[in-house]
Amino acid sequence: MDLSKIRNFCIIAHIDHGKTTLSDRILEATKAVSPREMQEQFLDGMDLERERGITIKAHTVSLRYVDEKGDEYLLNLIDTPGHVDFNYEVSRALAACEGALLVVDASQGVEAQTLANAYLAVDLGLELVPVINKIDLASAQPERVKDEIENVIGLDASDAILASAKENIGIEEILRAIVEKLPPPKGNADAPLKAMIFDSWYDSFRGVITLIRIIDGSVSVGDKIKFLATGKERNVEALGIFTPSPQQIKSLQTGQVGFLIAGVKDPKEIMIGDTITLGSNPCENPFPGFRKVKPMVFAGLYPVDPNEYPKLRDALEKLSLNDSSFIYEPETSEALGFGFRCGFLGFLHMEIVQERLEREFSLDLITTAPNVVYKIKTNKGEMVDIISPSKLPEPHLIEEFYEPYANVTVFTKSEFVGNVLKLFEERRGKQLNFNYASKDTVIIQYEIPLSEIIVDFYDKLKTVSSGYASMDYTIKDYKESDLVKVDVLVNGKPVDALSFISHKSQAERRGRVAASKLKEGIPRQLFEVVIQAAINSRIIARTVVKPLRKNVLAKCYGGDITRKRKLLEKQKEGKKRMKMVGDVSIPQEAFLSVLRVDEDR
Amino acid sequence: MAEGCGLYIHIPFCKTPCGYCDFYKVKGERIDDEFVNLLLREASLYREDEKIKVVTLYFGGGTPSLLSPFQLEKIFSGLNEIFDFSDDLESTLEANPETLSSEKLDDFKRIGINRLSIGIQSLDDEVLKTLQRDVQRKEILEKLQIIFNSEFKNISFDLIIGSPNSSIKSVLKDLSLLTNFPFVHASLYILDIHRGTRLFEEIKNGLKPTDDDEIAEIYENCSTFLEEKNFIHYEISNFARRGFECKHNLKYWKEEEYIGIGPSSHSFFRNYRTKNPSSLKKWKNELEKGNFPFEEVSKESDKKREENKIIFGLRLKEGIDSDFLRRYLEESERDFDSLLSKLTEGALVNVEDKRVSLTLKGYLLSNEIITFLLSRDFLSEREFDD
Ligand SMILES: Nc1nc2c(ncn2[C@@H]2O[C@H](COP(=O)(O)OP(=O)(O)OP(=O)(O)O)[C@@H](O)[C@H]2O)c(=O)[nH]1
Ligand code: SF4
Ligand SMILES: [Mg+2]
Repeated sequence: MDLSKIRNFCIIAHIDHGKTTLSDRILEATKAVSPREMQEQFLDGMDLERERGITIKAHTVSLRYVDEKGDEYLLNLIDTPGHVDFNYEVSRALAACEGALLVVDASQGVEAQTLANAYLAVDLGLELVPVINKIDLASAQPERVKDEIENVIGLDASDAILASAKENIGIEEILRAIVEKLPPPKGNADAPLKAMIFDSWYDSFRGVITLIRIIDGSVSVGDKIKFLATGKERNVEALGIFTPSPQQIKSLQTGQVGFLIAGVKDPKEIMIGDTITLGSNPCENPFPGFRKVKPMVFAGLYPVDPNEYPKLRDALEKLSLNDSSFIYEPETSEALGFGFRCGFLGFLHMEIVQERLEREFSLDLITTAPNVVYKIKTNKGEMVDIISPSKLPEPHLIEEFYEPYANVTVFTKSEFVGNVLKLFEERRGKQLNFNYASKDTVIIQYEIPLSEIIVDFYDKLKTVSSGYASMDYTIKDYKESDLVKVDVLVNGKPVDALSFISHKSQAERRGRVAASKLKEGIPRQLFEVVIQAAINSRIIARTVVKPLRKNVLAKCYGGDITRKRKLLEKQKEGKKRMKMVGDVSIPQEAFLSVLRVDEDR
Repeated sequence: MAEGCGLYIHIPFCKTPCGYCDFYKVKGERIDDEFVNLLLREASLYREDEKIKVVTLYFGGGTPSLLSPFQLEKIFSGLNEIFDFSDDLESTLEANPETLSSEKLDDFKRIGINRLSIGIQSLDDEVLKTLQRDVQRKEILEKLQIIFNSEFKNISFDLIIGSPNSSIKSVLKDLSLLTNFPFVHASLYILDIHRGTRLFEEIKNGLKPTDDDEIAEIYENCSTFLEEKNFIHYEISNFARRGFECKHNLKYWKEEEYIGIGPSSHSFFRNYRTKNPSSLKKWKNELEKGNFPFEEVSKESDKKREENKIIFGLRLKEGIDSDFLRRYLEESERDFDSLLSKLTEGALVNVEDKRVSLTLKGYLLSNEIITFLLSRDFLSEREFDD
């Protein structure tokens, strides 16, 4: 295929600006999906995506487009997620493309991830076509948005396409712009095969499936390929493209995007960002790989049923093929048994990983309250990373205690500035910058401890700004800080999985709130449950879950003993969803609840 | 196992269904003869050369006292011919006071009924209204006079505790009035609010249910009250003067055999548990084809039988054999003792003379205690924690 007839592009935007809906219209316009098969947000194929109404994974689809002159093009569209936590998905998708549609909501204007994703694309040398979407809205202000694109991002917006994915406006124009304004892939068709892996997943029948972009050369079914990272050689079993249904083809050519199956059963053999070449004729300069992600948020992940530890281990291995942005290492907890300490890009990411593990691998999991990575200098002068509160040495062994800080950028309408500033001030933030992006949009920058923003900052920000403010953050550096560990005791015994690290000024209050949250979260049971919070063995809070008084089936009528049995079975099932810590049943959610402090602020 | 089988006859008709009730019943004041014939037809499926010995007979409902003496006689003598009724047959009829008259009572007695279970539920008009029970205190008290003027001696009452709009005071008042009559047996049922009943709907619409802690309080007070009046609290919901325990109901708790006849009835017979359909129509259809009308049949495995012995044995004051329990749980003596001591420390369980039984506090928590005991597979996780 002629390279000049290929276009590889992403759709990028801030969350909810309409990327996936715009993809729907493009799928329809190119007749990739018949009206009968069509459903809203077609590419959000995962149940979780549909339920939450957000894109979690980047999705790739190959389309045929015939322009007015009758020229036929192969378009590879990658729809990307907008939420910060899935930023890594965007950066990998961008690496497979030469251009991107930068979608901006005509009423919301430029927001934090519009800027962040646009910069990512520009850094990778991609050509951008701005699309102002949702012009059907009464509150649409395309002229203002154009100004913002020019002022905030520094991108010429004079030819920005005005579109409505909902009302099917501007779609032809977008397709034309893709062909006319975005460059075709470069690549050398005669060079040895050089392909890079930018996504993968596990299929129980076919093993690992990789999504690749051919940079140079081509690959055909039957070729003996080599994965450079491991040096392993494999035969290509199948190749294909998503149209959007998977369609097998004999070969993938320079510039193309598609999937490759090579009979790999062990997930660990595949590395995202790795280069594939021919064993007999290797390429010269491998693809440099992707920047390493640095998880910000750590939490323990444990099976409710301890027998499921091996199942969880396999599930993590398989899921990490499809989501290379989380990391995990084995951990044991006195209270929870064997599990993993996992690092995520953010709180939403953590929730999504847990839910995917539970759904895709039918596991029941407990997630402990998340924390950031602290650093300490021990009295022996060593610097040590602390990824789990329970691994913190005794206070007298700690010389210096450090916590990570982030630079947070918030875009907000000027009417909410007061609320946003207050939120930052409450959370130990320090203002760095304050600018007007346009008449009524303000960009505020703060330096703030990362631990203050990982759990609920984003939700709070949305609440105080009636949904208008958006945020992005980058990790800056570590600063020395006055931190302590808060222990939580259940019936007099400290439960490692419930302890957390807090700034000293907040520790007492958070301890009290944790104890009361747990009291709410732990159901009354046969015996009294005493919950205490302690700092350095000093008890600062105590609550009691009174023992249950009544749980009895009074009547077993006419010999109907099955009713009673069913009830007991149900009760037993309910208990399975809880974790026994000593003799106390603690529900899964309760482990997370200790950090839900803010409602009581 | 006691010699002989229990026989339960379900009469699924009620004049005006009560607001809390989720038993199978249909609205109806008269019972047609066809139904009576079908009951006998079902019973005759159990006809054997050597007749099955029956030691207890129980007419439950619904409202069995809606049967006319003629109908009851037909059923009774029919059954008597199919089964071998023992000489000291306990034969109970459930009756709602408003359906009784002195003539009817005389007839019932003559036919062979020797025990009455009177569905009183409450003597408080406010509570009766809440329960949507179509009768008032005044009428109940009048009927009680008639009942105790009859020849019946073995009489029980049912009372509901924990109804919305009731209180410790109202229930104790009822009890002290009732115990002035020479009842020898009492059933105190904690109200369960079942989905699909009218009461459930009302609670959804804002009627305030009595909270569990208060119900526990009421239950404990009632038990103490009745024990002071020389009733023995012999089962979670049942009290009796010595020697007047309901033999029929004991069969349920003791894994003994009983045959259920009529729609929605249950049997446990020759190691099979069966359930009849909760539908007159389905029940009738099968009978007319000459079949047993079962909707569910399951053979009781040994394991289940043992488990049931624990689940239901713990409903009784006499409790269960502690060695049996330990063997079932496959615990070492030491672990078993520490397990039990946890429960005895909480005053939930008594261990005496090698028998394990629930205390009053324990009765109220019987579901929890049983899951605590029988879910050892979860508890064994403690290995990690200790
Ligand atoms: N009025 C109007 N609503 C639109 C338009 N395009 C999308 N929407 C709505 O905006 C919401 C978000 O649309 P999506 O397509 O899921 O947005 P997205 O950018 O893919 O979101 P993420 O993938 O989660 O970042 C949905 O409710 C859409 O129906 C449009 O042109 N006009
Ligand atoms: S409680 Fe008794 S009388 Fe009332 S409807 Fe139910 S079966 Fe009939
Ligand atoms: Mg989307």
